[in-house]
Amino acid sequence: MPLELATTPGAPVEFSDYIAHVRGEVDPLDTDSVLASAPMLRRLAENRDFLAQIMNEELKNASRFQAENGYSAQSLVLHKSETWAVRVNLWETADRLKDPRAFSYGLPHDHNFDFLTVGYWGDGYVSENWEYDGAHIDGLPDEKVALSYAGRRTLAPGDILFYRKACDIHTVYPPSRFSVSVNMTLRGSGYLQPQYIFDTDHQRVQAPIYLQGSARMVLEAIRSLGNEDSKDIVDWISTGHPCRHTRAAAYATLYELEPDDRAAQGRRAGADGSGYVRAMAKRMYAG
Amino acid sequence: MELETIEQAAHTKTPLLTRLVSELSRLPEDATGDQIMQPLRQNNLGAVLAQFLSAELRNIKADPEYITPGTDSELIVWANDRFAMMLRMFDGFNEKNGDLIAGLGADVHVFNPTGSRASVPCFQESLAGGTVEDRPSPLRPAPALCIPARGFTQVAQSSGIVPDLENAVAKVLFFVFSRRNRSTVWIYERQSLAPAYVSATNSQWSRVGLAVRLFAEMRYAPAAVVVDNLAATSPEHFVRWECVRALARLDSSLVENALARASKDQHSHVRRAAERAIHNLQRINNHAS
Repeated sequence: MPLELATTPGAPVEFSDYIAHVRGEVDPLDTDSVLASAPMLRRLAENRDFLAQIMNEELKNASRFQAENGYSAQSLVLHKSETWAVRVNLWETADRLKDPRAFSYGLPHDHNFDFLTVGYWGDGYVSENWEYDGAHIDGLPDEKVALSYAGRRTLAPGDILFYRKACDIHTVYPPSRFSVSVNMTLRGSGYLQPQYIFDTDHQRVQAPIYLQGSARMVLEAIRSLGNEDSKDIVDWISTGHPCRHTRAAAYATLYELEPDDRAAQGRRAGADGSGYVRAMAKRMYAG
Repeated sequence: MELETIEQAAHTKTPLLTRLVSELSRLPEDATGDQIMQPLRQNNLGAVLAQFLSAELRNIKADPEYITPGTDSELIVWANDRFAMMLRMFDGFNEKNGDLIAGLGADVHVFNPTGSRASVPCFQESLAGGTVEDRPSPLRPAPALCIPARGFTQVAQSSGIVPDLENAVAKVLFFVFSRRNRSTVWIYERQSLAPAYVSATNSQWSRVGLAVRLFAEMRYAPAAVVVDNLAATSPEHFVRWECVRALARLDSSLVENALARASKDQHSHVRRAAERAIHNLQRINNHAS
């Protein structure tokens, strides 16, 4: 279960005051410091107008609305810096759902970043929760993973939870009323690793969730559309990129681009520091 | 970075793509499918895309967190208000695509830039979406569905399409969408042809629709002016109707005009919904009097 943080209602603060507080008082790379900022997030949630005010201003130029937002439609980005961001999630009710996939309902998934969340509007989404130890899995499809069930939870207005990356898994269900949550998301180490969808019944990794338009997809396309110019860079990515999934994708690309060099590629991949890369290479080069 | 500088940088890194975009941008607003096809046929799309991907690789090398715009199954090569060009992948992690048919409410030009053989069966979709006709036979006869080499295309207006790449070497297709016919995207199960879900042509306007819904839920009256304006000007019909609904909660004095405008909307769904709402209001008024 994500950490439940007990706070009491305080005087509402303006959004700009919240941003100033985090900038001045919070170290986004220090979990304790982030947890200590929960009361200020609660006070932001007490401000019933700030979100509508920001949206109203932005929608005066609708064609540029949230133009830098690369997330799915349910997410609004209110602030973004190198190490943290303020993201709002909108949760549609079941009766008005046209596309459940757009809200990731019903999919047990973890996150590749820590985040603090507060219920802001509506009844709040319902989630079913599990925990696992992401440090001890490679992330291979169908890989066995020990999940411990952690109960069901509704994020009611004012409730604050802290979700831990590669630890908390939740399946989200639609709220009974249109709901809104406000998140402070943190971009610590591990941000480049994918999130996962889990098969909770069989305690397995089902599939990774990649960033939109990720490096892996560019590498996948290069397999059939690469030119001489691309080979050296793919070669560098196979050893130099910090994300294990991206390195594995680079090897899959080299396998197609440079078939005469497969023996050397296999040796390099077999010596990679990540079990995921080694396992994927074993499948590829042994076959 | 200033816009001019961005364009200069793009031109330096991907001159072939810049030239193609420039040629497409010079086309008139009401360009026909054939006119759109001409620059796409005349340019070597394989080379254009290879150059684009190499530039993306350099970005990834320079910044490991660099993200190419796109979704979980496509890379956006270029997009503006009139065109969207994207590489769609149908392999590996994106196998799910094979189970679905996308009914795209836009002119779609499909290319196979690698020259490998692939077929693109088309199914006739009703103009309003939600049903696929001519079941189970593809709309076009089999020989015409093959994509034998660079530059072959077909225009699939208001059709459900699903590439069949079982025997293709490379499972990458290049799509060019002409946005003259903005609409929602209907997705159908491949086997049953039953509608699976529907979404907007782009997440930008879906997000606008949800923001309008937020105003309505919060009864945030100061947004009534913006919402009323969007009810008249949004290019997406589902946003226009969401705005009309929202006005009922934000400023009832604007509803009558908004409904009258919606009853003459260019999209039949909006017109029908407005007519029903007007009818219901009249019944309530009659009952009250």
